[in-house]
Amino acid sequence: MAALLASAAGLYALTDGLTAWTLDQRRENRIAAGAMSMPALDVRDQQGRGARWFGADARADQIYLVDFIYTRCMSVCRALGAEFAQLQARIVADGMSGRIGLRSLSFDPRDDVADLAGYGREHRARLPDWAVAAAVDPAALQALLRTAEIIAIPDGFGGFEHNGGLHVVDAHGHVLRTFTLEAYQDAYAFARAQLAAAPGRAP
Amino acid sequence: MSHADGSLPSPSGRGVGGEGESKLTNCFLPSPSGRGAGGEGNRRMSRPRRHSGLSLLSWLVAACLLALPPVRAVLEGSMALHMLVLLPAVFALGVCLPQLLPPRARGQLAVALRPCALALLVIATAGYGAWMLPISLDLTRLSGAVNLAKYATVLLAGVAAYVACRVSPWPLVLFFGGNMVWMGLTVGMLFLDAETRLCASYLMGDQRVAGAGLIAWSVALGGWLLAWIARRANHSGRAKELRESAVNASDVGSH
Repeated sequence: MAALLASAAGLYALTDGLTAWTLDQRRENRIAAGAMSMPALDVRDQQGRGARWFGADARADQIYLVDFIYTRCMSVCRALGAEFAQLQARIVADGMSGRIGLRSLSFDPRDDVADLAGYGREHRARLPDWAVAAAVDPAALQALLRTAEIIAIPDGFGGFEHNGGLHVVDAHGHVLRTFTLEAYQDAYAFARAQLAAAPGRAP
Repeated sequence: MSHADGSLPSPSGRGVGGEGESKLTNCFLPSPSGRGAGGEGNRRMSRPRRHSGLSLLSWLVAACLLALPPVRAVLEGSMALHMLVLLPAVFALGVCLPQLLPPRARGQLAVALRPCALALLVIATAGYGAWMLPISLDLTRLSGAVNLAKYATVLLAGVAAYVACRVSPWPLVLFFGGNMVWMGLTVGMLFLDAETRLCASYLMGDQRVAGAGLIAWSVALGGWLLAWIARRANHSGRAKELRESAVNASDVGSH
């Protein structure tokens, strides 16, 4: 009986109460429960300026759409850049500048400021609406990826495969929801709804 | 029928670890002859100790090899190697661990654990089966504590499996072993047919190779299980073999 109970308890713990059989299911459960946050991260953006993302002193009335990229990507990240370019235009058109921001975070340790600037130029990323950045400290980035349960692995062709999708995150790093990369318009609509629902904020 | 040295043959003929019959005569079956004081008895008694010394060294070498960070990095870095080489190797280490004990200690262990046959089988199947889940593999890559738990539970599963095969009725072993075969086949086919990566830590190609390998391993395990069951079932119920199949001399007639 003890062996059965111990086995059941172990399985229960591994699978988040028999609800998550894959890591992505576990991430979805945790995000839905409001239990996932990205730790504060010091970054350098496409203009070489330092910034602190998700810090405790960030303005509370901002929402970010965060994606994970690497500038040498020739497929998914290129498409994602085009999507973010569309969103950037919508943010400006809707008067959401300073309220909703786009954050592209590189997980490739090879990406330097020149690479980030090149990616930014290619997709017309303009600060402060859209920041393309890399972590100052690789160990801090690994800690963020581990906390967010994002795993990036080499794809054997010089690039990476990673899980995670598009994250809607508040200014303090609290992950509100994730979307597939194709559902970027839904992510933007969700971010606007979150701002509208927050007390004291204009829609 | 006893062996020339007075010890009794094992009931199964072959162990989980694929050991030969001569090794199994030193397994959980203490010699009924009571020899040990005479010269010939001493020479026969000394053979297991030299064998155990070599085995302990081999076990330690194998364990240290698996524990080396570069080796672990290679084996854990591929889903196929992780599931088809590393986990079975750690399980095999667990199977071999009780065999390092002196025969008397093994016999005492078997006597003590015989009432726990069901629990041993649960530990063996749950301790290994948990690490066939996609989320488990990813969590071992994210957390050092979970990775350590993996090694500990799979090693324990191997120990439990070895003891369970010695002390459990064969229908119980068939039930649990059969479920492990079924689980391996199911998970293997899932990995092979899934259209997306189920483990964030590994690529699709790796997942498919792991799936095919799991199916192959499960078929092999099923075949071994059937052969083992056939030998056990063939021996059970026959008066002459009741004595031979006793885990302990006092268990004669208890089947």
